[in-house]
Amino acid sequence: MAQFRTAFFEEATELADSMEATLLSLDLQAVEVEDLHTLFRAAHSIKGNAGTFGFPAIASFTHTLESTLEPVRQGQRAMTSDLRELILQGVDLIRSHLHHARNDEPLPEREQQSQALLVARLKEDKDTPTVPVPVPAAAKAPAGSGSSSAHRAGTGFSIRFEAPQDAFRRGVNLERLFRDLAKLGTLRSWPDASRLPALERLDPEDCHLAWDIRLETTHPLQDVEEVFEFVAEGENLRIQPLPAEGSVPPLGDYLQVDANVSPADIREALAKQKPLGEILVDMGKVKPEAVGKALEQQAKKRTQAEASTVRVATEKIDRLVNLVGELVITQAMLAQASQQTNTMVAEEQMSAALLQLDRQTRELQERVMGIRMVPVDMVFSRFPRMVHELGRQLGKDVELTMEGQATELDKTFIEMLVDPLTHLVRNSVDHGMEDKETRLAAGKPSMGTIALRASSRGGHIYIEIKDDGRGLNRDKILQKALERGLLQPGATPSDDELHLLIFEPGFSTVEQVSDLSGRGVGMDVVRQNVRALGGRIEVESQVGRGTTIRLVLPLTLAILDGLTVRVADETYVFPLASVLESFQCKDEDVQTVKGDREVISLRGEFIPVVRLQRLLALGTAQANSRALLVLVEAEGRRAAMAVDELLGQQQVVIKSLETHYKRVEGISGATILGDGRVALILDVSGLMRLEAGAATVEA
Amino acid sequence: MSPCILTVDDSSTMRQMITFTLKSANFEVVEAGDGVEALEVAPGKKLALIITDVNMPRMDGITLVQRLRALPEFRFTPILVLTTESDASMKMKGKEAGATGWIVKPFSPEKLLEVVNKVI
Repeated sequence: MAQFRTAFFEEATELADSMEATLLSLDLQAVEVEDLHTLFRAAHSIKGNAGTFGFPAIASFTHTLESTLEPVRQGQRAMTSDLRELILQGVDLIRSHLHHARNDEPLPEREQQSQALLVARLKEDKDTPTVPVPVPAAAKAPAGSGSSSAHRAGTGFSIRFEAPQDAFRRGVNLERLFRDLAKLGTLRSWPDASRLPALERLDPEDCHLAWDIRLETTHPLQDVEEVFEFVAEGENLRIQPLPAEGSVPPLGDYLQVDANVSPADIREALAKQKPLGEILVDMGKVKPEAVGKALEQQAKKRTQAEASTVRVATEKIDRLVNLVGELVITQAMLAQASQQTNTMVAEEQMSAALLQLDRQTRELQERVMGIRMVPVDMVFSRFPRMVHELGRQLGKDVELTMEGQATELDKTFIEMLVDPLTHLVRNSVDHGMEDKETRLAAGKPSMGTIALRASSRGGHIYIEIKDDGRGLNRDKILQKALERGLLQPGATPSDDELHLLIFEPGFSTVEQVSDLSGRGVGMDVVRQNVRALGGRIEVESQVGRGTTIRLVLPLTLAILDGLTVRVADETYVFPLASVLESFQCKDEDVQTVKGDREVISLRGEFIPVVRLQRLLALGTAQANSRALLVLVEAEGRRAAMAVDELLGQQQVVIKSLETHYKRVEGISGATILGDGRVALILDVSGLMRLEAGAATVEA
Repeated sequence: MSPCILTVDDSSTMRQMITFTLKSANFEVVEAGDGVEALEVAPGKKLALIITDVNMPRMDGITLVQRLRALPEFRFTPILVLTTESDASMKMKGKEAGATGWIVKPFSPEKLLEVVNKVI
């Protein structure tokens, strides 16, 4: 089987490549039907093969893509740029699936989430009509008729199959097909001879038969499709799942099953039904435009309602309910233990219950948070292709590197970040990057680099867009700011202040406005969105070296893995992510340089020592011959922080200091410890900045 | 009498694998090395199924299907083509020529029997 698997991977990879190439070459204004067929077939092939060679996860995911593409190639759904984007993401996921399957490993959690999200989006999109329909046609949506497909609650499929005209001449055994289908479950079929031509025009070797089939089965769709493999020609086979258990099937389904009304008759009857809007128009009670407007309003309201809710799988909720059930039991165990008179037994019961409680609370926390959290990759994943295409359009060589895609963000944040990030990345490519000639002339590599980086530190999520382009031009910004009246003549703003001016409404330094980045209207919107999320923007730029734009977002509700330490009489929390190690050192290991700066030599590297007690203004550090040092790293720099005691590791809930007090350099937030006391969470990079400036915290 | 199947392939390894699999499933098997040979062997055999490779010397599988369909004896006989790629164009070519279905290479013995059972 091994050689089959290799072949499968190679082929599937090629198919995924071809899907991507086809998608990218699509002209959305004039889509070639053949391209849509190609896309569909590629998805179909991957699905089929994946099933054959034992990769059900790939098969089921590709199936979603396939069924999304089905109405598209039949012209029932428009290929929009959004849809193209979603399918491109799907192609990436297929690749990732293949990569992991090749190594016999499951798809990583993060990508499973991306997949779930994508699948949900594909399905959501399906619910709303994406083909732009003219108003009178839109009014034709059946008024409360429900689905026209004939089925009734249960698992299985409703199938419409029109045999290919050449079926007999190709030696197709239709009887065999029905026998195979019947093997999958309970079969019920209604032959439809309506496609038969008049007798004088009938060629007895042509097949004109069609069937409406209702198959109750637990087999997956793939098995059903397999049966039709040699006779499926796209439009002639439509397979729809029977509605899930719990949903109410339309009346037609009951009639079909109980009164044996054929699906063809039900379809005919349904076609006679008219939507409310159309009837009212016919009655002359309302103008078609008014109906169109009303429908628009209804659609708008529906979108709003959807946007303000989160779809959560019932399984997730079930798991939560179960967990709460378990918690109740644990509570009962604890109560029992507290009444136990035998101390030995009581202790044993107590510790068992506490252990359980520990696991349950952790799981509960993770799952509750997990409901809303999605990886930032959901936004990032669109950028490699975008940068590549932009670069090509503009004749620039640009490479995009990404880091920290697994960083999780609240779903709302992700949604609100899509536009700002897209804008910033576009800006980097369009304005930030020089063209090849300019780069080479400046002695830079012709290939420009944009780095996207997400990380979570302290109570903040950092998203950085860093390019090695031309950097912000101070003089130009200054001049523009004066022209626009954003600065008073004679003002001498600092670089930081000046850089932030690019986010002012109506600011743009590019004389030749390209159609890509627009006219500077975007940057102030970027800032608005980031502010709306309670975040801020930082800009670092050096002329000729590049620009870094950093979005700093709060992560309220965030839980942090922390290392609690004691400094003097206070407890502080280091984010565990920035702690490399901790060790004890002798005073003689610490050397003093430049008068008052201390460094320690660690494995051949000199690392600055930061006396937290002094830095945090907790009085002068007592001469401690055996200092405890915590080695931390942030933004690529390291420092050894001297503390008095290591108290332990624990998860802490981050509370914003800014909300309750004010922003303090070196402190990223506060938390409440188990004993009710407040501990401050240290911002390692802030502390390093403080130490460099030799200032002290003013709190 | 068990049904008789003609297998056409220029690779003897492939023919052996197919023959072995089909015989162990109680089918009679006749072999041919290419399209020309197949047209010589086939008549009068009361074939239940013909399985043919596509790329073969002298006469390829697609032409063979067309030629077989032109013979009254094989007008409605199920014919499967072995395609090396799941590339839809080859399946379509086979279909247009009159093939009943296809088996995508590489395939396992189980898959072969599964497809065979689908058409006869």
